[in-house]
Amino acid sequence: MNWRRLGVSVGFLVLTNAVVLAGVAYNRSGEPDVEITLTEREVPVSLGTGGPNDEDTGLALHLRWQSPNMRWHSFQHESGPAWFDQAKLEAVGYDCSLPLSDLDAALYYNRQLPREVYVVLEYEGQAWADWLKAWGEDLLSASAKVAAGQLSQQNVDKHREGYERVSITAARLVAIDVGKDAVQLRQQYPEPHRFIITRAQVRLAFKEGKTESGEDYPPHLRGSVTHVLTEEIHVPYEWHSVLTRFTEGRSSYKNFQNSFAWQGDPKEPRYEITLRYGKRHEPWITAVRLLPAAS
Amino acid sequence: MDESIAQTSTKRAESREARDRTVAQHRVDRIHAFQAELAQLQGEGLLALSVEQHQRLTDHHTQLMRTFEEQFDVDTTAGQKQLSLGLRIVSFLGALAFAASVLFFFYRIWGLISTPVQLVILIGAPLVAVVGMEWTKRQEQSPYFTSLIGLVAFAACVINLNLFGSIFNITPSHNAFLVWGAFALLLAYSYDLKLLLVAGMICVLTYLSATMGTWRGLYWLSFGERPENFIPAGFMLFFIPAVIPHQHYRDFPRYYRLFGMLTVLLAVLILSHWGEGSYLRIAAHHIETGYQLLGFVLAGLSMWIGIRWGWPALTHLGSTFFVIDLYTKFYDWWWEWMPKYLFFLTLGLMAILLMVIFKRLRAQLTKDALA
Repeated sequence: MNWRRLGVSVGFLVLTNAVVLAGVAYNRSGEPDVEITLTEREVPVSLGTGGPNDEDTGLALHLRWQSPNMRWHSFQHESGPAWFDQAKLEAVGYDCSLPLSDLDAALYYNRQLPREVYVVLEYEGQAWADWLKAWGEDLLSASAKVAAGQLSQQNVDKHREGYERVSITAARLVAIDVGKDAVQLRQQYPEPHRFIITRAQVRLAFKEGKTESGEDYPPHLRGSVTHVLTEEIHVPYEWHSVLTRFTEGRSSYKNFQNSFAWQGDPKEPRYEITLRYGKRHEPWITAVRLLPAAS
Repeated sequence: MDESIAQTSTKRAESREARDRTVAQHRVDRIHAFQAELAQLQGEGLLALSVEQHQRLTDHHTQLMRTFEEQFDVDTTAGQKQLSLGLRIVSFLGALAFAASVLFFFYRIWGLISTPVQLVILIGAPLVAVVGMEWTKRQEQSPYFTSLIGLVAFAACVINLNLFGSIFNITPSHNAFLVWGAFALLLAYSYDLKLLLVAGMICVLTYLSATMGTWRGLYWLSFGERPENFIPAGFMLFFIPAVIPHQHYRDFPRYYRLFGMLTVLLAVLILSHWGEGSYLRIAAHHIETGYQLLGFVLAGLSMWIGIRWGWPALTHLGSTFFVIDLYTKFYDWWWEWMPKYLFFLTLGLMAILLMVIFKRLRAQLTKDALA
């Protein structure tokens, strides 16, 4: 045996694992940045941790959240929240110096790539109330369109059904702000039981054109949070016996929508999960409790 | 007695000279070429060795090849060489199958074991594979089984970090590619394995390109959307053999040069058709024109460097990209409006023109060599 050669390879592997585990220990040390209790609405469970097909026996929670102005019925769909304007885009590092009236503006801004930032997710706060209220207003507006003959009653019925469903099953976490500095965001949103601050990916979009009613609107820039970087949360073995039955044998890999069929079937959430986010803004599960609807 | 000591000393000297299997294999190839040329010269009556000289030469070569065969398991016949190629292919496919098996096995048992057991398995798998490599290396002189286990060790290391990320919900980072690349290169250099060298280069290339993207503030996974990220990384790989000497790894520089230049030429080719993918803030068609010109220059330069320094693979790469650049340009210009028979006829004529040019260049090189 060439012990030196073997020692170098083994040492490399041991050191790598030690560094990763030290990072995990650092994340979980001291006071957590966030300690929050969410329900099945916000963290539905499914089989699979990104592995292949149905052979994956792991369990994972999927962090679900809403973006203001993004509602599931397409006719009210907008590009991103009003708060994510040009000033906010510049604050997270986008170069928006090219005037929007420039002939190359659309080309230039549509070529911008995603950036990594910190996002603030508010749980069951004003943003959620506004989001739900906007759904209701959409419903009223849809009803008015039926009266004007612009929309069929069938569409409105579908919309009403959707509204009733989301009131019971939709995630109440809403993205309310983004920034490059997590410490600054925490000072701005100090409640650790209400605001999650974690890493996310954002995009920029150049918007111009006509509204649904045919009115021109001036070109403007709008950002959107495309996804949270740790949306999938590993379920440790000790919680498997409690949570496995809620997967109903569905794998997130095979059919993402299928895994959350529970959300399409208006039922009260069946469990709640306590999550902590540490110094590196990475989550882990600390408690699982069953709710009355589970029985 | 004296003869025996002399033989032993010759053996030692030969061993020192043939420090690795690659050197020994090159020597064997040279002996075969020499023997063929000698037979040709003798047949033409230009050279005549006495029976004694011929016997000494044959004995020396036989002894030399036997030593190399014993020490390094080199291929001493054409049949052995063909089988070795087959072994390399089977070894690669076997390694892929084992790596897939390890991955599926992890997912299969994932939900059935506690976190500490998961960690022990994840940390232990690459360690066991590395020990297996070392043991196999002791058992065989050819690298086939060592290469197979090496790829499994690399796959186990990738799975190790990947699933650590999953278990502890770690934010995905491009730094993982640096670790995987470093590990693959460590194994490649420790055991002289080219397959792991390529795996290491891919990981390092990914890391460097993603790092370039993050310097511009981009999310690292978007690095592929800006092919320019690959150009400096490709050049870095290309110049590694010029900066770091590789006396003990004679084949490695060829891989660095080839892989580095391939990366650069591919990135330039993509940008020559997709100006929107550039960092440059000018009109896309100007960017495409610029990269088209750069593509021709770099392809020509690769050919020239390959000829100048005797690196045939680089010459082939350059000429291939030169033709691809040319043909894709023809497609842009003429495909839409030209009748298809005329389009392909033009391509054929262009191929003849290129053949004439290359032939003239070749004749010129032959003339220079003879002079």
